[in-house]
Amino acid sequence: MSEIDRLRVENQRLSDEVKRLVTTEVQLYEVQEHLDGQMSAYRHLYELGKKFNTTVDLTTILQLAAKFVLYELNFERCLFLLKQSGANSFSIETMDGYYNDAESTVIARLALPTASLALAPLYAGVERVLCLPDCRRSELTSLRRLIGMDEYVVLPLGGEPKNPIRLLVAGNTAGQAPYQRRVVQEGEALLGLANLASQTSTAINNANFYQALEWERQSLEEKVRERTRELSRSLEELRAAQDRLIQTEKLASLGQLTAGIAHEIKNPLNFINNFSALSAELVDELGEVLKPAPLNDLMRQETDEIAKLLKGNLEKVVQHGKRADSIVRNMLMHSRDGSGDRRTVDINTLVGESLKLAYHGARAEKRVIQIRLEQDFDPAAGEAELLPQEITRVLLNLISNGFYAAMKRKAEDDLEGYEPALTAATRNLGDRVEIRIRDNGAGIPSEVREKMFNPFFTTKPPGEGTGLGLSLSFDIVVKQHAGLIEVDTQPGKFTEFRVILPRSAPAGKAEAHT
Amino acid sequence: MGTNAGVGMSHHRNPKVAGREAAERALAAAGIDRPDFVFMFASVGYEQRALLDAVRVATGGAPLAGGSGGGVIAGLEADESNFSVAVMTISSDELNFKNAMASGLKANSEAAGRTIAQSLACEVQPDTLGLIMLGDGLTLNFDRFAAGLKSELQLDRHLPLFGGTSADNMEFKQTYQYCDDQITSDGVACVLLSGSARLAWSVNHGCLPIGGERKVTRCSGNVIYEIDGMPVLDVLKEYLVGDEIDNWSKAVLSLCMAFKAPEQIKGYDDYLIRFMPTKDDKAGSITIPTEVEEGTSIWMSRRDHEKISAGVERIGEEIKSTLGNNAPKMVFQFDCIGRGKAVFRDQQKSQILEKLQQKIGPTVPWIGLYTYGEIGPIGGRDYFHNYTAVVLAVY
Repeated sequence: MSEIDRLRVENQRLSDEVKRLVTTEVQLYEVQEHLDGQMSAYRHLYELGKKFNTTVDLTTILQLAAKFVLYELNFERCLFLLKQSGANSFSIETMDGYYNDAESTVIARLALPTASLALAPLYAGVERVLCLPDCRRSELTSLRRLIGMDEYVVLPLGGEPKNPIRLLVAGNTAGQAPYQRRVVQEGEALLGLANLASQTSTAINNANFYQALEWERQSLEEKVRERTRELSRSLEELRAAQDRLIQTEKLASLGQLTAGIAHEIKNPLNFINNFSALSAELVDELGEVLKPAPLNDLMRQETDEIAKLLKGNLEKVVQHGKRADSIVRNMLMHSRDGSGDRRTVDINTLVGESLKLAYHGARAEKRVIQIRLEQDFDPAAGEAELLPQEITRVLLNLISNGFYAAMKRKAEDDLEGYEPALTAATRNLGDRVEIRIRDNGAGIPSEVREKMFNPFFTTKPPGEGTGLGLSLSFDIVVKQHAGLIEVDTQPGKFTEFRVILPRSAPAGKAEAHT
Repeated sequence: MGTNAGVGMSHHRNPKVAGREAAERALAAAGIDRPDFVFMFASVGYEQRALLDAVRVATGGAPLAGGSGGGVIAGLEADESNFSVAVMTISSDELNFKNAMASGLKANSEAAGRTIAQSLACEVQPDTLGLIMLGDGLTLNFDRFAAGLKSELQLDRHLPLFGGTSADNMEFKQTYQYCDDQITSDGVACVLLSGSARLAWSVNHGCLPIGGERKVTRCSGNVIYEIDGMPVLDVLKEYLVGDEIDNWSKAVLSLCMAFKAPEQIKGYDDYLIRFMPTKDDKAGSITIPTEVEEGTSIWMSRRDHEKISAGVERIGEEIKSTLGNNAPKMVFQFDCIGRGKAVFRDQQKSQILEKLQQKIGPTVPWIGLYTYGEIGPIGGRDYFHNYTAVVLAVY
């Protein structure tokens, strides 16, 4: 063999060696690429697990999983379907990869019957349902149009092994498939999907457990809050009852005291009234007696003036004596159980008559009173068994107070457009009936509210009020009728007295709220 | 004002969102609201119409050119998935971009070249710098296209051609070219670049011959039937593993042809590399993107990591040397689809790209496309390349 032939052979051998090295390198690169792919898949799945751990929101979990199907597993489309409790179909819970608006609208409304033959293998315990591009099985191909995927895989998620409550569907359209991870009989793509389904299932379970715990915690907290509210309410009621008891006791003792005083004063007052009236008459008689007496003009003039002054003084004694007598009579009424007999009366009629009576009384007293009267009577207010005279007395008291407040505001504030008004209203409360007297006067300051039911407390000028009206009203409503009297007022706006009376004879506790 | 350019990328799977995101990021990076011109490079996984419409809307309908690729590059990010879009938005009062499109490359690439020339002839000015082109990687016959273009333009100076051929992620079915609102296949989108600027570029491949010289013994145009008197497909099997030849997209990633470089560009490399985009089992032939004659010497070649890395460094040095102290206004990178993930792992690829950008300008707006073929001039003549990187800096 010549040197040239030997070199040619050697060259050929080296060339073949290089070819072998090249092909080996290609194979090595492919193996490396495969390993890189696996490593990448594991890393991304690990990252997804970490993201799952940061949320308990079901929607977020499913959206993350759907994104993983598209961006890491490289399928074109992904659906999560949920079977609601008691439903006979799976409906869309999350979808991704549908970018045509019209198509996505249709897919979003998908209701996949649980009895679909395509899903039957899952109920038999099969791990997944595959529809490959060349599939001809009608139960699988019929699903293609419904889910918008020409090749797909369906995996169960959650629920019983043979009764899944969720489905994960991943796949591609025929047009996009060349650019996506293909759906194949077996391989890493399916393993990746199975791993994803498992992780997603765990994340959903964790989220559900967390939600259940959270709901339990919130429920317990709500129970504690409710119990605290109840205790707080009880405490407030207890305090209010205590206050009412004190007030009632105070009023009772005051009533007894004033009744005793009134009784003791009544006799001397009678003497004062009677003898002052008699003395006034005697002054007149003295004048008659002195008429024939020979007095000069100056002396007669002085005598007449003294007699006139004396008579004027006696008339004032009589006038104030009568006023004192009125006070004493009112005081004595505190000690009585009520006047008249209980009888059944129509509430609307009672309130209406009281309103008229008060109005005419006020006109008679003040001559001019301009106030708008309104009636808001509940036709169902019905009847109640009560002491009509006493309740009329209460209503006259409340209405005349209302007149006074509204007219006073008009006189003092000189508000443009202000029109004094008073409303009487009734309402059926079932076994009770409500009467409301509302005026648009100046309202009641809080310091007055605290004392307004006390005997002899009045804000009216001397001579215009005895301070016994509300005290008496309280006695009549609360003690005699076991009812409730309360006040709602806003200074500068209104005052509303609310009287609630039982329909039948009193047999309960008494209440008064201010 | 000068030139403001910015690049944005999106991987969103929804084409409407991806287009909008990439364009908005590019506009934000450029610091502009309305661009004068837009380049768009995209993967083929997207529904192309929705994607282009989204970019057009987001960029206010500014003139646009681009193409599909096996992946895109925006800044330091290179993505070879089927779902990525890169957008470069440019606003400039010193540069002028005029776009045009032609189709029918498969039937007559020369006619397409003439069509482009007719569209742009009136735009060629003394300050015209070059033509950036994106042609269909499955049907472009570059030699004939260039001949048609130049015969029609009849310029008395060399108009350098840059660019690449659009790709479809080794599906070898359909690639796309974009021009304003138009999307076509079997076409070419071109941009005539003029203005007060200069160009710096470099071309480099990273392939080594395997074995000795071989001869093309039967061919027609750009179709090869026999090598050394043997059916070309049998020859290729010698270099492939098992039935790898049946998976053509994979086979051509690891195997290419080297032709002896013309004498006038000997300083560039000993070889020009050719890709084999299609094979015809029935005819027993393969196709390459340029014409070949019987008796031409070829060497079967493969990519070489070290040579690619060294070649990229050389690109950086050559461009930097041309730039001097001038900063580029923007950079275009047309890199072969066979030089990306097919040969480098992600980390290696990022390192090489970062090294290149550090050399030329780390903050320069940088857009790139992974192509089926690259176009870049060497020694004053335009050449079509494969398994090559063409980097063009405008400064």
